[in-house]
Amino acid sequence: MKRSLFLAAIAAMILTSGPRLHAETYKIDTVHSGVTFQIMHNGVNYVPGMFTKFEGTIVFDKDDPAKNELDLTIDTNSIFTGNMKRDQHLKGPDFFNVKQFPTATFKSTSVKQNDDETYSVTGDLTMLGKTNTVTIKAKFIGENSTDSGVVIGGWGEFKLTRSLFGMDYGVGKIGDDVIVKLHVQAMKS
Amino acid sequence: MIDSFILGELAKGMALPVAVMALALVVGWRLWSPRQERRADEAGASWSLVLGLGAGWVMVKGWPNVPAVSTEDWILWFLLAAGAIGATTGWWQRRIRISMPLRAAVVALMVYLTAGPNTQTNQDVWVIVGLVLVIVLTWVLLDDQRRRLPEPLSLWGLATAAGCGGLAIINGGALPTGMSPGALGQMMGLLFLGVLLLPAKTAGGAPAVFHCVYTACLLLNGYWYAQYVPIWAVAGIFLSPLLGYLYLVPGLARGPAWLRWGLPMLAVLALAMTLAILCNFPPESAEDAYGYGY
Repeated sequence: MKRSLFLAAIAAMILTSGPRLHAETYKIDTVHSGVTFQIMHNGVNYVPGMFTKFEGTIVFDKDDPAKNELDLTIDTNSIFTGNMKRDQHLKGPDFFNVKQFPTATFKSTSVKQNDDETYSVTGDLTMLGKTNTVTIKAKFIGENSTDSGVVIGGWGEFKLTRSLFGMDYGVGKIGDDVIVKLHVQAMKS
Repeated sequence: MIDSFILGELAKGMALPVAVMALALVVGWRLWSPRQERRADEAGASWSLVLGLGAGWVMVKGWPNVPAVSTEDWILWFLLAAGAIGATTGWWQRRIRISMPLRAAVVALMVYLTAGPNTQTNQDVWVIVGLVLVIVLTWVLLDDQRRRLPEPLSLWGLATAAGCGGLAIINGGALPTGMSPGALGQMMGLLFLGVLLLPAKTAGGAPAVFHCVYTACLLLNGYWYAQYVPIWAVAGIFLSPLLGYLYLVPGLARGPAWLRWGLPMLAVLALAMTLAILCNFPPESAEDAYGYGY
């Protein structure tokens, strides 16, 4: 009896004192991350661009994907395509209308794990005051301990239809679908 | 060479609305019937502007969001307000107890809703109060011009200001928004020709209403939200029709008709066009080595 109680106590200690498996919050390291996009132009070429200012957090639990979350806020005034005139036009009312809508946000509503490395992150993308659901195909690359702390990283990609947000300027000559890519490195808070 | 995409947009945003307005004006003025009351002409002109501008706006920008999501969602509502007020100017204009509060209320609402996020500080509030005063005063002066100047001359000033306002906004980086005042400029031009060729017809006080409610609303949208539509351009273009008062300069009154008409017409055109051309987003710089094509 005494031996059984002893073994049960040991087992309980092992179960409770081991590495705690639960969701951790990570802050996106904007210096080593990026939000880029590409859009069809004239039906022959994808023109690239990026947002240079954004911030966000990730709640990540490798063992319980349902707990995972992604919150991302993009400063639309930071759009950069390498051409000053085009950037100014993109900031105006024809496109991002940045003075009235200075941010675009994504807030995940569900995360589904597809295999060991890939996830489908579904959430609400709000832009120009309108919200639509998009699904990010995300790939988890890995986790590492650095001098600064624990970091995780991966990338994601999704397609949005800009006219659904009321941004329909030039549809036809300029693509309606925009491919957005997220390159994310995040540090444990 | 103008890009076919731009031509397509201009067809929807400017050619179509002018065609709709012209057809509506034939009905509104009952051009087949030489006799019609002036108030009916005024109402016909006002609603023809609403139909033309409304058709263009919906074709280019779609129906407005309800409730409003951006300040542009209010533009169509102010177009309807301008139409209703413009159609009834003959009734309310001489009733000072109605006309002044009506003007102030409509303009204040228009400026406040168009300002949107620009109402964060006390200083902004004073800017809005100042804008309302300037617009209402301009409205009163335009009505005064209508009584003292030949109607075609007043319409020339309003047509020029609207057209150049559109050009300024397009140059400033907002093509769809700028096309509507551009179309209004052409419509006022049609009214100008109409009253010039058919002196029995009149647009009444409607054009001044559209200038102070609709054109002003679009110019303010351009100033606040397009990338390069500076306040001096907006103010100068909006006030330019007041140069029509040159017609009353005593020295000119005794001069030949072509000079008396030509000087104010040329002055309005020169001022508004210069300001519109100076709006160019953003100023050219060495960094912009590749240019930018739509």
